[in-house]
Amino acid sequence: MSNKIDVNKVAKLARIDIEEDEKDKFQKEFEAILGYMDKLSEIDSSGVGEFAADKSALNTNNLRNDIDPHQASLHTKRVLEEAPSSENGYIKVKHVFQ
Amino acid sequence: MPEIKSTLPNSIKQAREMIARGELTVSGLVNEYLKNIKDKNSDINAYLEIFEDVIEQAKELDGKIGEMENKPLFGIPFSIKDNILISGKICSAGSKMLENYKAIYNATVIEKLKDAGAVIIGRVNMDEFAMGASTENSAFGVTKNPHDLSRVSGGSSGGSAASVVADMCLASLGSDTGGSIRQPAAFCGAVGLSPTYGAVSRYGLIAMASSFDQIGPIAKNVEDVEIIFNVIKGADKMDSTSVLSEGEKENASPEKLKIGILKYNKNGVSDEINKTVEAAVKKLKNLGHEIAEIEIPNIDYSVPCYYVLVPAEVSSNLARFDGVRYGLYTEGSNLIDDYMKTRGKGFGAEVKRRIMLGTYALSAGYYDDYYLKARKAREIIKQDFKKAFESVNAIISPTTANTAFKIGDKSDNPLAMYLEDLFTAPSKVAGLPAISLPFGVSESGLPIGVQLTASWFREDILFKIGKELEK
Repeated sequence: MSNKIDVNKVAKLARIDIEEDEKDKFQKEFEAILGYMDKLSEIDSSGVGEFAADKSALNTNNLRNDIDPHQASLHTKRVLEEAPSSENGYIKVKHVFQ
Repeated sequence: MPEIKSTLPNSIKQAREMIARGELTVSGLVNEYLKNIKDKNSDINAYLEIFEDVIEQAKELDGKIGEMENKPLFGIPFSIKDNILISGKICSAGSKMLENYKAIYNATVIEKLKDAGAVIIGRVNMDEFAMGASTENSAFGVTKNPHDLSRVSGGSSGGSAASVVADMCLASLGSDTGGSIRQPAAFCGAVGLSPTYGAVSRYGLIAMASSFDQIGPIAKNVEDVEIIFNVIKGADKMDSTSVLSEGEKENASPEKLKIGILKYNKNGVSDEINKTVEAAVKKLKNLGHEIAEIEIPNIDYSVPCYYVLVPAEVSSNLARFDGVRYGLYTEGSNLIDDYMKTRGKGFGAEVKRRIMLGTYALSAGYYDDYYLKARKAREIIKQDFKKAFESVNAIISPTTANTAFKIGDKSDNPLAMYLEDLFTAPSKVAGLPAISLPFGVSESGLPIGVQLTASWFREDILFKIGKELEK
């Protein structure tokens, strides 16, 4: 595996502003960590699926029926109180399209 | 460590007896802990907040003493890790991002504790969003080890372990993703259980890595951990991954068990800890259990597998912290810049590191090499354990390679911090239950933990062996 990681690109994809002086440090740390992760390439995984083959409870979602919803807008007020900005019962954000 | 006051109970059972006999009221008990908190918390920094209604909670219980019999945790004072929601209280996850966030509902485990009569004293410190092994990643300062204030309490549930050991509560709830309950329990000298994946509802736990996270108890002894586990376990319609325990039930465990000693590289572990595990094994052998060495052939891939899958899940779970719905908001020049600035300012270095690593591992061109490969490794490790539990009932190993390290020793080396999970990550990769309990102390007086791992939903076996070991 190649351990070249473009910190600027990844930070942008992850929507995280990082300082210029943090970049070098992250770069070095990522290279060390990914170098260690490369150990995984040694494991023989031929014939192994991505997801568990056995359907035990651990690998099965325990979904409830989609019935009896709570009363609409029951929690709206409390939820909105935690939003940094809201107006007329809606969360307020900047324009998505300029 | 400061002397334990004789008035304080050492177990849930003892506390209940003292309350039942009228030697102690719930308010009196809570006041003892509050005194200790006042004396010690400024040094240890376990509690981030003491709830203003704690005396009220205690008085209410004192008025309902008749209900004690049906409430297994009646009057028992708890601390709660700061990533478990309590309605109306701040839940910060040790992060500036949620410094002022007030939970709008109770986690299922909180409902269950309250129904069982517990008193909730306050919320305790942790590594930011549960990422770390020392609480040094908390935005609110490190939690120090009550046995030696120059050392870490472990993490991420360091506040939970330290608060129990320093008698600032009788028990605590923490969460374990890769060792976050067991490692601090081992460092501080408490008992900590990471239950089977799916045994306890995570509804109301701030998510870190959803295919690993479990809530579990940290307490003074195995019986207390068992009592708390029995209160909090069970399927919950609010968590689709929670299931009814399967194991227990069909086949009760035999009196004499077959216990496997994990084959591991002894050179990587301190002599004192190797000897402690040997001593525990000897004790179990003398009690009549059959002992055999057991190998998990692919166990060395657990940590790399863990540190691919966890950051991947972290990058997805923490996408919700964007300054829109809750938490910190820092204004930028447009919507995307709002996200960038909010996340840049709100997250600490380790959280940023994991989000970016996860983003990388999931990005086009790298998915197959990292994420897919790690998923497959996880299945292989799971099969290794499955095979092992066909021949043994439980596996014994160290919990950690060393005793509690000095504050600052590993904070500049993320990879060294990740390797703290060497013995605790494998059970999480496989979704197995594991417990750490104190078994002796090092020459310098620091606690040493031994770890027991059992098959899925066989917490009962962990409790049985654990109780025999602590006798």
